[in-house]
Amino acid sequence: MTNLINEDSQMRSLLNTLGADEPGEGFTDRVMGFISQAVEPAARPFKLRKGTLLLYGIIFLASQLLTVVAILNSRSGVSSVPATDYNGIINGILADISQFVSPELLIIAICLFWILFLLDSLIKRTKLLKHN
Amino acid sequence: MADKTDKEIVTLVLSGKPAEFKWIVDRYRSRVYTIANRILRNREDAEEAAQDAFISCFRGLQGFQWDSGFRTWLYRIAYNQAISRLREHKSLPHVQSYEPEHEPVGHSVRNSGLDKLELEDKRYYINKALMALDEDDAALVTLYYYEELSVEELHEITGLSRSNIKVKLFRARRQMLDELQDLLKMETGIIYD
Repeated sequence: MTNLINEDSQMRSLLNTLGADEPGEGFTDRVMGFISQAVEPAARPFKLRKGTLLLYGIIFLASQLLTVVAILNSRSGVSSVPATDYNGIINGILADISQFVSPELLIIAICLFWILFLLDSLIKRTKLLKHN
Repeated sequence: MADKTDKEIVTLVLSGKPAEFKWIVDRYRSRVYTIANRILRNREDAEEAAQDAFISCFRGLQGFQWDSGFRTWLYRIAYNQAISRLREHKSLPHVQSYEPEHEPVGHSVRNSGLDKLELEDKRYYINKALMALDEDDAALVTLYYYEELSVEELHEITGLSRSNIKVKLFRARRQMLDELQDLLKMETGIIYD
């Protein structure tokens, strides 16, 4: 028994003399780099979605604005659009639409659409953040 | 932050401050790396295993129950990472052998005890004796004698039965002390008592 205790204390002494090994320089930073990469993908989809959303938004708003301007112009009998066949078709369609929908109503509808769209994205984002 | 407990740091990490995990890495990096290095016996592999262990630990923080110790849990991850890497390596045709970095400086200390050796020389021989053990035995010896973990904690970390751990420790201890004695006799003429 004494021998075993002696061996035990010898082993403790030996292992303490040997000490711990040290990883290479910058180990902690490397680990934290991997961890920040692991954390990022959760936020990335929203960032991509935000960018795409903005791009689509700009394109859509611009086209809607042109539509409203075209409708208003067609009502007042002035056409700001060059009289090509292509634009003639668009003006024809717009004139048809303007018979049923007033430009004011169209603007309200567009705004409402965007408010709902942004609200929806905001709710999804909040859910995503809560989940993570 | 260094004076904060593991639980306090983990709570901060889970409250949305992942950068605070740095303190856990700083606190345990050498221990986790030591476990991996004693098993894998290769600096690069051990570093990768230690990195993976910390990343797995970070990912598992959400589900960690504080019933068992955080340190034991982290060591278990590190042990399993290293053992699975070792198994992968053993299935490969060539395994890089481990060589201690330090070579003893001459034999000016002939015919004296291990205590009379320079620290670096002592470490060289102790390391060589430790490397003569099986990889998992070397890890067990390190965790038991250096980290001063209990048999119960070793059981949690390795999944081995308590009786098996005791037998392994007994054999490993005998083997290491014999090996050290032989090494010193053979290489320096020193008899370790």
